[in-house]
Amino acid sequence: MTKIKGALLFITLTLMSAQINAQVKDSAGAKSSWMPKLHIPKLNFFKKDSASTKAVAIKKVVTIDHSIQDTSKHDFNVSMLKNGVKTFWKKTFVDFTNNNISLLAGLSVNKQNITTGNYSSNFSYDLANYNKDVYKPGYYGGFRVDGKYKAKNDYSFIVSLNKIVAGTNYKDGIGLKPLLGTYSKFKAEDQFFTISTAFHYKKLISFGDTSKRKFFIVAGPSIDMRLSGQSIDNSINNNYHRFLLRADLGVEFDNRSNYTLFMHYKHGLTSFTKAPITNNLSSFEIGAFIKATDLF
Amino acid sequence: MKKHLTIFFSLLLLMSSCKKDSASSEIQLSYQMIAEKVWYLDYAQNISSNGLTTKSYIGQSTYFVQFLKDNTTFDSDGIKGTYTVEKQNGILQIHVQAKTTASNSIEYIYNVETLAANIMILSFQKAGVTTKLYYNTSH
Repeated sequence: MTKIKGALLFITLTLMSAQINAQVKDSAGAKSSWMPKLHIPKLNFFKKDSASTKAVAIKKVVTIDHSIQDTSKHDFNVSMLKNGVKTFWKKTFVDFTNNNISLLAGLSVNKQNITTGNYSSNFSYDLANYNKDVYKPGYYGGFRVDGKYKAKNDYSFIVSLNKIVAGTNYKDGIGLKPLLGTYSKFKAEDQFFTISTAFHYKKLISFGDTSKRKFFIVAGPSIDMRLSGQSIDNSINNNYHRFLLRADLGVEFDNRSNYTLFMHYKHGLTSFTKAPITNNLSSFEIGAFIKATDLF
Repeated sequence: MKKHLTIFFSLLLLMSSCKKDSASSEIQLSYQMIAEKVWYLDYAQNISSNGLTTKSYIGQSTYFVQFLKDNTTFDSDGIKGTYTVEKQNGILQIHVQAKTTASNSIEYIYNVETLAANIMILSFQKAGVTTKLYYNTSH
């Protein structure tokens, strides 16, 4: 029994040493198959100044050097990209200077004015349930870049994600006599999820101490891209456009550069729906923005 | 190259929207509109070359029909069977195959004039007369 145990121990130790030997060879770059040849371990293997240890140590250094090189390569690529973007930005937007990035958030109230024209469908919607001539609240958040164009014209570029909840004002309901009530063949979506981009020109109003508080009047176009899908009612005729162009007008109040409060009105220039339906989506937005450098 | 293709297809996926087949959406919506409701006949109109006549059943005991989610139907005359909503030649139709109380097979097809959450207008033509049936879910 003791002999068997001894034999097993010897075989295990032999295999382990063979494995280590093989690994050392591998790491030193020597070609070896996975099934190692059974070598009796050399006595000087565990010595610190042995050639094999040196080889391992050198290889480790080499490996570390490789990893450093890889990281620097990665950094090099990122910095290359960063520099490329910077160069492109400077070359392209040479007139856009003093840019400050801010984060913005706020609430919006929205309403759709709808005329259906001669739109036909097999479905009707009782306007007693769907005609809600009110502004309904939604919300949004995003970022904006404020700067100067040609060193004298203030501008802002805004990108935001919007949850638009909109009231519906149907202007031309139909009757289905002899049934009572007013109906529409079109059912407007009352909720949208959009990504909005806006470019505003800002005009400073000389009012009070402008070094402390600034009032701006802003105006410009914005484009909303609808990210949400359509309900089954509208997917039948694919009634909604993907994009909506709107004109924005608003006021902004900059309080000592700590934060800015704003109110914008957005009026639809294009219809959110396809002809013959016209759907004019208008929104009032109130919100605030703070410079990203003040937050982070 | 692979990277560019990945970006291109990701953008394409983002920009594209999955569009359901409009005919199937229409039929699906029709089932949603009519199923699990009792439809009471409020008015019946006959339109012919002689003019228009309207008969009102408001405030009276009237005919009703019910369509169930499992595509079965029954009405106040005791007719029981199955129904399907289909679109034939651009016209939305309700196709009923049923049996009378005397176990006689009966089949009829109504054209859908309009469907709403609480109203349904169906029509059919017979001997040059168009009949329009106005149903309501409340009576």
